Amino acid sequence: MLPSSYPGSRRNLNQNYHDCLAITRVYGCPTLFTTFTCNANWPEVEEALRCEPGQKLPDRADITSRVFHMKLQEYIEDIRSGEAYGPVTACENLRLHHFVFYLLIKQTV
Amino acid sequence: MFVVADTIEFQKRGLPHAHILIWQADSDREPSAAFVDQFIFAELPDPKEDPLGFVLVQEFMMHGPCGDINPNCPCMKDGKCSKRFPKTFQDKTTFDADGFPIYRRRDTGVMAQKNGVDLDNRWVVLHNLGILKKFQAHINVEACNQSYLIKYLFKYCHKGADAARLGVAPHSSATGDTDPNNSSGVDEIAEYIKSRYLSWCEAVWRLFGFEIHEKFPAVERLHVHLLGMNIVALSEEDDLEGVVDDPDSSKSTLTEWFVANQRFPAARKYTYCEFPNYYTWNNKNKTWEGRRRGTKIGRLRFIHPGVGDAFYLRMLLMVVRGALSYADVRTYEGIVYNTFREACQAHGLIGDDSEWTSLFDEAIRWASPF
Repeated sequence: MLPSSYPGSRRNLNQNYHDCLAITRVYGCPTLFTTFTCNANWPEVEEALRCEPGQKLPDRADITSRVFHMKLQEYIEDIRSGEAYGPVTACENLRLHHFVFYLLIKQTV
Repeated sequence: MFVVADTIEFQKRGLPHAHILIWQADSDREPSAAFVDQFIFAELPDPKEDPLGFVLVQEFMMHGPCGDINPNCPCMKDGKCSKRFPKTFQDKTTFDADGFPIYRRRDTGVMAQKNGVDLDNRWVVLHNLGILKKFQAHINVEACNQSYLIKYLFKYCHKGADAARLGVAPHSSATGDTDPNNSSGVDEIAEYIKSRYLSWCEAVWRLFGFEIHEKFPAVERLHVHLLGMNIVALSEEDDLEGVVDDPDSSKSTLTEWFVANQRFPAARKYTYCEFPNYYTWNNKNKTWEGRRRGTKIGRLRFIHPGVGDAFYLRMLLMVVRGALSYADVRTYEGIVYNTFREACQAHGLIGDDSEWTSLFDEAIRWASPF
């Protein structure tokens, strides 16, 4: 059994989902839904890749991850401070990867 | 029973992607067209007036092209675009019968080029121009102030990784275990490791220990349990007798709530659920302390109605203020009841079948089929 303290486990997601509903109980409906996708051509990424000739993006997942992490933190900070969308009471963020394949399951009994 | 892959969508090259839900401060009011227009844009800026904005929208926020021009676009399903592009032109933002916004897309004649195809405002993905200029990435923004959408949205945010995991685990059905909640026959850890797909980017993200989920304000998960039935976490090396003898082992957020009510008379006007707004839980010392800054939302952990008295205890904890002991929770108008159920009855929380009706109503709102 994977406990809810393990990030990404079924229980962990379930607890987070319930937390979300608790926020909704207090503050009502969320008003905006936004997605933030990594841009592989950010100058920071391209510049760091150029250090080693012939390097390609998939060779250096660490660069993409770090740059995306920094940008995402900045975006969330902009949201929290009210700079992006005006005063904000609550914010919930789940970082995902766009999976190379995405399967929807149909169960046939 | 077999698990069948229904649809396969090829998404981006495994690049990281975040979903964010925002509660704006004045979110009580009905969304108005002016409010939506303030934050959300669905039009190409004029290339003469705003060349940077135009280039960025052209590069990041144009859908497709799909449809007859490009039938192999990943959004195409049964010959139609699943995202319903191209949209129709709209002179101003309106709302449909369900309160769903139809965003402003004027026919301005501005055209953007993507993959050699000219696209107009009907093909623009919803975005915020200021944010787009700052971050220069695909950032989609949508209004979602509809209560019936909450469940869908939260599900969408919290089930993404799981869906991929289930998709590559056809063998779990071979054991004949059809109930996903019945974990007795399934080695969850093995399933998790064997059937998980990690993209290169996610692997590195996890190695760095970056968080995959964040929210504010934080939510305090409050334990509900009968006397002496609290959960005690221990590691493999722990001396069991030592754990049993440790007085801290019997302490939980609930038992210490009773203690805090004795220590701070001012705390007695709050219910257990409201309590974390004003007091913080110190998990190391296992005590509640006065809150100095910030705010936190309390949430009582779910208890299955089948477990009996603990379920009624949870029900009481939603309404009882400043209880000093379990007996105090069971007390109503000076009478100490023998069971939490009887106390619930005295409170008028139950009596007929109304508890089951309310239980079903609650379940509709949050329960999930998987």
